[in-house]
Amino acid sequence: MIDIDVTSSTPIYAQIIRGMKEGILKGIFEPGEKLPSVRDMAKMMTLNPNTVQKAYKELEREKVVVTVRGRGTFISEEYKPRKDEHKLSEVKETFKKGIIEAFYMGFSKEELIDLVKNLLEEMEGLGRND
Amino acid sequence: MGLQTLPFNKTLFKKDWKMTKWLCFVAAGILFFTMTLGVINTYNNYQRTLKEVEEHPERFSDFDAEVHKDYIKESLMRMFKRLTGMEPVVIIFMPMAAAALLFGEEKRKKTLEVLSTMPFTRREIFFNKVIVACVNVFLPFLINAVIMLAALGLSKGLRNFYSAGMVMSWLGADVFRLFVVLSFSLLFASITGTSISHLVLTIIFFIFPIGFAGLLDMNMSLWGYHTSVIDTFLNTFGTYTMPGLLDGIENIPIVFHLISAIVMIIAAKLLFDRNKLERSGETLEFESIETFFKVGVTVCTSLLIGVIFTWLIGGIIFFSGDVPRIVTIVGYIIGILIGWFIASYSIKLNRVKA
Amino acid sequence: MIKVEGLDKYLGGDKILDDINIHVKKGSIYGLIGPNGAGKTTLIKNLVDIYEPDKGEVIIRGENIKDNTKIKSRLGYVSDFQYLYPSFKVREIVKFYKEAYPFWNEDRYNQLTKLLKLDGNKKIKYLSKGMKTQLAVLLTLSIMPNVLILDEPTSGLDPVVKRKVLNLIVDEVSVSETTVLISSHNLGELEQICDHIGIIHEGKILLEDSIENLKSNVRKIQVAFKGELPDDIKKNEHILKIESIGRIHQIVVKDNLEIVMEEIKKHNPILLETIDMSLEEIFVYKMGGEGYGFADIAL
Repeated sequence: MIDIDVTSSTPIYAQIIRGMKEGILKGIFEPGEKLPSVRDMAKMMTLNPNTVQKAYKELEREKVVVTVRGRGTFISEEYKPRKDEHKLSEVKETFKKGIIEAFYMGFSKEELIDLVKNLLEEMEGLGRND
Repeated sequence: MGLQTLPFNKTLFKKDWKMTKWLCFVAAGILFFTMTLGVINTYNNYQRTLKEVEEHPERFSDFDAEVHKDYIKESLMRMFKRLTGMEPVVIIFMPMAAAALLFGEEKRKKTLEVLSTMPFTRREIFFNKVIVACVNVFLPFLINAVIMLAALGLSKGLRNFYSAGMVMSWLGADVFRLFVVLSFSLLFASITGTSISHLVLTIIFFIFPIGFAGLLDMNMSLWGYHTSVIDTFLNTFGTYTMPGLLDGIENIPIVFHLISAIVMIIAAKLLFDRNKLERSGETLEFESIETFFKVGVTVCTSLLIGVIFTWLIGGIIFFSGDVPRIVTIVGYIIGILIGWFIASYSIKLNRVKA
Repeated sequence: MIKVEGLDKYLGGDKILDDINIHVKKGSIYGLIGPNGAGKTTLIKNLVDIYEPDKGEVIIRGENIKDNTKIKSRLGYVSDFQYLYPSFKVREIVKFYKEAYPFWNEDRYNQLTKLLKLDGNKKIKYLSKGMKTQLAVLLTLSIMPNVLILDEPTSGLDPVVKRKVLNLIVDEVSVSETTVLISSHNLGELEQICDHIGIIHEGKILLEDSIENLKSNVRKIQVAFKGELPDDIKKNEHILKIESIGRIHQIVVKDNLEIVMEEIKKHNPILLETIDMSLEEIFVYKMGGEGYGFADIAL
């Protein structure tokens, strides 16, 4: 359900939070849907229940989920993930890879900024032609 | 709530009983077939003999029924008063086996470790084992006594041969002997770490006073000293030793043995409290007695091999006079080496690795 | 919940445990990690009153464990080898536990046995290792423990059974807030269920911390400068290690990430980011800094 890399230096609770948010984004979890209980989640994924509890509390604080006493934890109806937020981070990753490659090739910071500027101008030119 | 302060614990009792009950049944069976069955058939056998005499008088010249009856009565009397047949074997080995199963085996199989993490105190564990051991060794005798008494109640004819009093005093005497041997075994259970060393040490020390005196006597005569001191010693104090228990009950200093048995049980309890579970499986529970053990085994082996070696050489080679002293000394040295090796090896063999 | 202070233990003249200090909080799962022969089993046997410490004491739920039946009645212990009475039948062992522990929960037991197909008439000695471990875990969970101590419960089990056993423990913690101490020679087996970790090596506790703290106090930074790596960064005391590939440098920082980041920013880096590292890597650096090679710990 959620990919957890236990060996990663990212704390497991943070991975759960990220995983849940991604799940909502991808439509795996619908708003109003009931989440598995802490106990079931811990068992399903063989995780420390305290860790799962911590992730759920954090998600609740961020208003991603709501807990109804005696009924369980649900995906909040109000939570509207900003789709662009997710997309943005992907774009950032792509840029980062390009920048690192560029450094290997010996580009300086200024040269890089010039390169981006040139690219942007080219694009604008294309736009105007339309 | 008052009961809880007593160390008796039903759960522990049941568990220990489950582990050892077979021993009780085996002993009861042995006693039944080697003694009780004969006793309760006495009257039948007597009747059969009478019948046979009637049918074939030619086979029995001057048979006197009364004399025969007295003869049977006397041999039954002897049976109840002296240890006969398998009885001494059961009296010696039954308590040793019970103590070995209850202590040595639990140490060897490390079940005592798990037991000590359970909600039982050390006192409870020890106390219930002693109770189970008592039940285990007394019960076979009690069962057989009850059978003999019941037979007496059912058959009038039997009453001509033995009485309830005889059965009861037989039971009493044997329970006393069992109790003393059991205390002795429990003492060794508390200083050994595994069932095999427990059995070996108990048996060695059981025969030690007589065996060692005998060894001394033989060695002294090898060197040409003939003295009656040891003989006198054994005649005077023999009944105060463990093998002395096998004598007729009227010759045994009962009070002495009872007191020493109680002292041994108390010592066993105190030593058990000092048992360290990390030494479970070791030959000896206490490191401090390892040297004593090695020296003891070495001295005894040396004395024994010295005698055997002298005899052996004396048998093979012809000497004009006595076997030369040097042969005996060589025997001692071989004995020292063998004894030290055996003792060290047995300690090393069972040494628990950290 | 479990507190060990200044514990020494000698076995056969050798000092097996040296000044051990351990603190396990209520409701946490504590992983005791160390290579074979590090003293894990000896320590655990001291915790459950099989061995008696030569120095120091073991406090569980505020009381010394020594001969303490009150604490032991709710102390669950699963040993490395399952020393259950081999000649007993399964149902006889169950009966023994049931009578021995005052808080035994029959419903719980019945519920747990549904997970495990056990023949009650089978003798303990004929059970496989996995079966014995599962039976031991099951018995120990049915006594309603509030402290659970398990000595390498997963070693020698196949992955399916291993997961089953770990899940039983995880479930126990979520339901009853049981405090758990579990040992293993393999960090990977435990890191997903533990929240605290103690590393034991040659009879000493080298490190005791929450996994979260560990993950946050050793960090790796990736950095690039226009020129060479500045000298005062090379000499920074908070840096454990620097690895360079061309102009990209990977820097491992202990404890003071912010200070190092500030320091780097002063030199106008063209790239500065923190990157992921595995828990195993963290241990390597952490121990490496304290004079232990990775191979020694064999996580």
